[in-house]
Amino acid sequence: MFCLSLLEHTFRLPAELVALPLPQSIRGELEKLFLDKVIPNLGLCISVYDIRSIEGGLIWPGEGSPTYKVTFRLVMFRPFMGEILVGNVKRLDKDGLQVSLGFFEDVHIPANLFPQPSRFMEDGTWEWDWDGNEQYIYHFEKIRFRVHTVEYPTIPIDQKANAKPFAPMEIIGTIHDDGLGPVSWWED
Amino acid sequence: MHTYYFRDEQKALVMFRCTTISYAYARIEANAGNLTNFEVLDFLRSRGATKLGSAAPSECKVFDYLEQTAAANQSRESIAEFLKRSEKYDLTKAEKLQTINLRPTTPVAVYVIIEECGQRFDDEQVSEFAEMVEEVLPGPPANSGAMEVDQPSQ
Repeated sequence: MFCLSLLEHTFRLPAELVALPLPQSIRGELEKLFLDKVIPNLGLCISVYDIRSIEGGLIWPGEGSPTYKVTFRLVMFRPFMGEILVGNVKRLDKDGLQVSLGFFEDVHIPANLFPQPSRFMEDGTWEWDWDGNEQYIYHFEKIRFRVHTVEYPTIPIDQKANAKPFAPMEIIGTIHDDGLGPVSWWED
Repeated sequence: MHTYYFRDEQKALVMFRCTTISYAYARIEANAGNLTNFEVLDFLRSRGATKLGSAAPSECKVFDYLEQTAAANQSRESIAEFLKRSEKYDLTKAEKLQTINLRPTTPVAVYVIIEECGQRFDDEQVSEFAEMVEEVLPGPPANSGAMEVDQPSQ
């Protein structure tokens, strides 16, 4: 689910932070720049793990504070394809499920990746007909799913007024196999 | 608005919710190592995620999620013991990582994690593995039934 990414970034330290100890102010700036943001193909940045090197410190002409080149590692949330994750069902509709992981909410399980035959009931739950036994998916239930794809859509230039809010990172999950789906389905 | 002087750096888009900010930064190594949930939890604990105000809200959300999983009660010793005992099964790195993160204690859960489980192991070996996992890796906290989810406003 999590991995480290090594990055290098050159940036100017704001003048008001120059008085603080250098590692602390650099870390603060890196957190402001990267924390809780999605980097395409690298995932969601959870935290700054460590700072490998700080170089530079020159003040360029026309600027009032030093510029540093910093090499550092970030803890990234980037599940691999085929990984099993556990989350809570956040929303059910006729197109499928939306699952929340607390810190990450854009997980969708489309209806075509459900075990078949399933159907959406009027009371807002999903029903799976397993050889005559009906199994249900309810709201807020703990659900185990496999990552099908991780997509990083590009930012739309125009967005309709009532369109879904843009999500820079989306996980499409599947519950089509044995052992996947609500955890309560598979407990003895 | 900062001006950056960049040479040979890869320009990329860093997106935050609905705002886009463009930075110029270089990625040296996209994958510098996988982390188990336990390692991330340990790291967040050392950053002070248990106390309010020491860590960022996003770090606290990840901390709250991980505290509900099996990682909350794990230790380096239990993970080292598991790695030693699982050597004979010849698992891939991804399978070992997922086993540590998810702690499968039933054959069904083991089948989900291990690829081509039916071809590589017979039923007895799968049950043996599930029992070993239950014995070596500590269980998740008792109240992990329902994780906190923001109620949707409807």
